[in-house]
Order: sequence, then C-alpha cells, then structure tokens
Amino acid sequence: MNALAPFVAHSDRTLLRKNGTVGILERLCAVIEPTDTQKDNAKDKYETVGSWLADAPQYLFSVARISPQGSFALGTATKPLNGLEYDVDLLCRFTAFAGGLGPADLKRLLGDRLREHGVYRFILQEMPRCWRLNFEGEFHMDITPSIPNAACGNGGELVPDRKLRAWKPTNPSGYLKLFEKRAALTPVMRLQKALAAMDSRGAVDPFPKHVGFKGILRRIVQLLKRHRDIYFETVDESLRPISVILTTLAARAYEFSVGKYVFDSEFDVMLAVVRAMPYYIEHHTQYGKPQWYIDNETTEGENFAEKWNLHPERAAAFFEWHRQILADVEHLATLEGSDQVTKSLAQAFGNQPVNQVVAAMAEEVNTARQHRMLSVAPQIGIVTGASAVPRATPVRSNTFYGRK
Amino acid sequence: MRCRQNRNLSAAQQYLALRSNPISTGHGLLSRGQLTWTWQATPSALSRVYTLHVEFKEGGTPKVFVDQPELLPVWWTAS
Repeated sequence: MNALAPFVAHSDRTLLRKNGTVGILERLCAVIEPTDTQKDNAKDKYETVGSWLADAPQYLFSVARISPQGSFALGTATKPLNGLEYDVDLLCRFTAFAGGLGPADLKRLLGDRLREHGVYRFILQEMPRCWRLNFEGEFHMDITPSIPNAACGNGGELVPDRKLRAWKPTNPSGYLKLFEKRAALTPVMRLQKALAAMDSRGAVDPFPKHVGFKGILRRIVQLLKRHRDIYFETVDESLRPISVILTTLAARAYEFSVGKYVFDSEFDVMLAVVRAMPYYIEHHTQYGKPQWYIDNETTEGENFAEKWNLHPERAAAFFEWHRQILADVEHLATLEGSDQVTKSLAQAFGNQPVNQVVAAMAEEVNTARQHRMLSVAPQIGIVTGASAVPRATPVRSNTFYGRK
Repeated sequence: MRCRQNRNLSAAQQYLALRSNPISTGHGLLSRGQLTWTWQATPSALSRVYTLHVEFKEGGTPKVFVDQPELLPVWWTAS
C-alpha cells in the first residue's frame, strides 16, 4: 500500500489556501493605503481649511460646509505609484443662495478666500472645476464648490462643469451613505469579521475614521485600484478607468453577491465581486454609436462612464483590464507554494508592497521562533503567538548547525 | 536529587510517537531496531504538500528525506 492518508482533505486544503491568500491580501491593503499619520495629517489640514473658509467675513462662507468626498471619505484610498501624491477631495457646500452667482463666479469666490491665507496663496493651483492646495511631498487637496440640487430628492449637489458654464449633478454624501450601507453587509460564510465604525460630529463634517478590519468591500476596492494602477502602468495611462467606476461596480456586485450566495471564504467573495462587476454597466447603441452608462444611483443625471462615450477606447481598455484581473484572481486560487503565490501577487499588485508583506511575515516567524512561540498544528501548519490552537506542537529553537 | 538522564528512545518508541502525533500522520515500517516513516507535511496554508520519509536505526541519527516535490525545481521557480 503506498497511498498516504491525506494530511488534509483537498477541499479543506483549498479553503486553507484561500484564507492564507486573503491574509496576505489584507496585509497588502494595509501597506498600500495611507498610513495613520498621513490620514491624521490630511484630517488636520482639511479641518484647518474648513475653519479658514468658515471664518471668512462673507455671509456665503459662514453658512457653507466643507466635507470630504472620494476615496478618503470612502476609506478606499491607496498609495499612488511612483511616489505621486495622494489626492484628497473636498466639497465646499454653499447654500442655494450662492447659486445665483453662477459656477464660474462661485469658484472664483472660493479661490479668492483661499488666496487670502498666508500659506495657501503659495500652494494654490487653479484646476478646471476646483482649487488645488499642493501640500508638497504629502498630498494635494482638491476643493470643489457646490450648491444644493433642488431637483434631487436625495440631498444631491450641483458642481461646476469643466467649462464653468453650467452646473452638473453629483451627490457625494448620498454616494458615501449608499457605499457604507453596502460595505456593512456581511457575507454568509464561516468566518465573519467586524466592520469599521464611523463617527460623526460638528458642522465641519468629521474626517472619516476607519478602524481595525475595514470590511471586505473596502479591501476589494483597494485591490481593484491597485491592480488597475499596475496594469495601466504598462498600457496607456490615459485609458485607466477612474476610481469611482471601480468603486461603483464593486459595491453593486458586492451587494448582489452577498445577498445571493453563501461563501466558503473571503477570497470567494472577492472572486464573485470581480466576476459580477461588468453586469452593472449599461450599454445602448445610439445612431450607430455605443453609449455606456454607469449611473450614480443617488442622483439623476450623473453618468460615471460619460467619458467612455467620447473615447470608446476607454471602455475597451476597461474590459481588457477586467479580463486580466479576473484571470489573476482565479489563478491565485489554484496556486500551490508560497513562492508561486508571492510571484503572482507581485505581478498583479506590484513587487514592493508584496515583498514588504512577505518579509514581515517571515520576520514574524523568526521572532516567534526566538521567543519559543512557534508551533505546528495539524491541518494548519506553522502557528505563531500564544494561540490556543488545539494539539499544536511547539517548535524547538533552531540551532542552524547546518550553517557552520 | 537524582538527575534525569537523557535516555535515547528505541525505534519502537519513536515509531509509536510518530504514529500518535497528528502532525506526522502517515505510515511506516518497524523491524529489528529500525524504522522508516512516510508522511505529508504542509508548513503553512500556502505551502506545497511535501512528502517526507525518515529512516532511523537505533544507535544512529535519523535521516530525513524530501521525496516530493523535488527541491531544486521548486527553488528555480521561486527565483
């Protein structure tokens, strides 16, 4: 008889491997997102800008509110590649009364107030629809003026269009609420983890604070963004799908998948989400031309894919990228050997963060070995720390005699 | 006080220890003061499955062999 009793049944091993991969991906996300210091720094600067605007003598500013939007607000920010600065997006919400000024005048008024500041005047840059404060070496803060959108029953806003001739509908706060509602959905599976909580206070909206495990949806969005950045580095960066497209498709796919399926692991959740993303892109043909729609569900008239209709090659690039990330994630589930997993992760998400994560994990094992906190448990393998894994066998200190 | 001596285990005792330890679940042969034991090990969730065997003769030191996978190709794919 030469058949060995299997150490772990195949399906259990696959599950263990998927959970091991999720463990690396979770650590990877922690590496590619802004550090707590960077987040605190951005929060301080954002609140200071908010106070400066609120202290303006003009009545319009005294009733205005400034609030974060975009990935910092959603908790899905990732470090840009090649040492580029973070982008922190803020909305300066004026009252409806300010709408009488028109988009160009309101934007000018906001710029004038920022220019009155002793420091901001030197780091202020005019952008087509907003004002940018360049905090060199840290991040840049884009501040867009907005007024309430009376036609939106969902608390939407109007922001200047690129030519500053008209107002465009948007709804960052509604979008954030919907995203948080979806992120709070917990998949039905064996392991369940707590989601980060949000607090709220004051008239200057609190800078979003995410603690502990961020939740699967936020992690998926971060991984999508990172994969996109790596992929388009070698393609054409102008074709890169914008973050709000990835976030919207992932959030909708997550809501659908969590409501429909039961999962064995968080890895399977990610795979289901990536697979389902394209189903939320609408496509019609108008006068023989393809028209793409990824609607902002929280307001009327905002199509995140509007640029795809001017540049159809961007839609094609999205689908090419989607095929690649789906193939990469599916491939990850089939790999055996931490060297193979590391190699694939590095190709998909970049060498530097993956090597950083793997090195940290190796160091943890070494430290645990030195402190005699290393064990081997049946079906699991190496266990570090004083964990209460039943039937774990302590690993003795390694003498490394073979090296002498 | 009497010091405990570090007494060497016999091949039979080693065999029983291997057979009863869940981290070395496998099969082996014991005969005339020597044993061979074959089992599978996975160092971590992401690791490959390694098939190992140990040969031990009383009075000697155990020799451990990695039967599968071949270590050189694994090393090459990692580099």
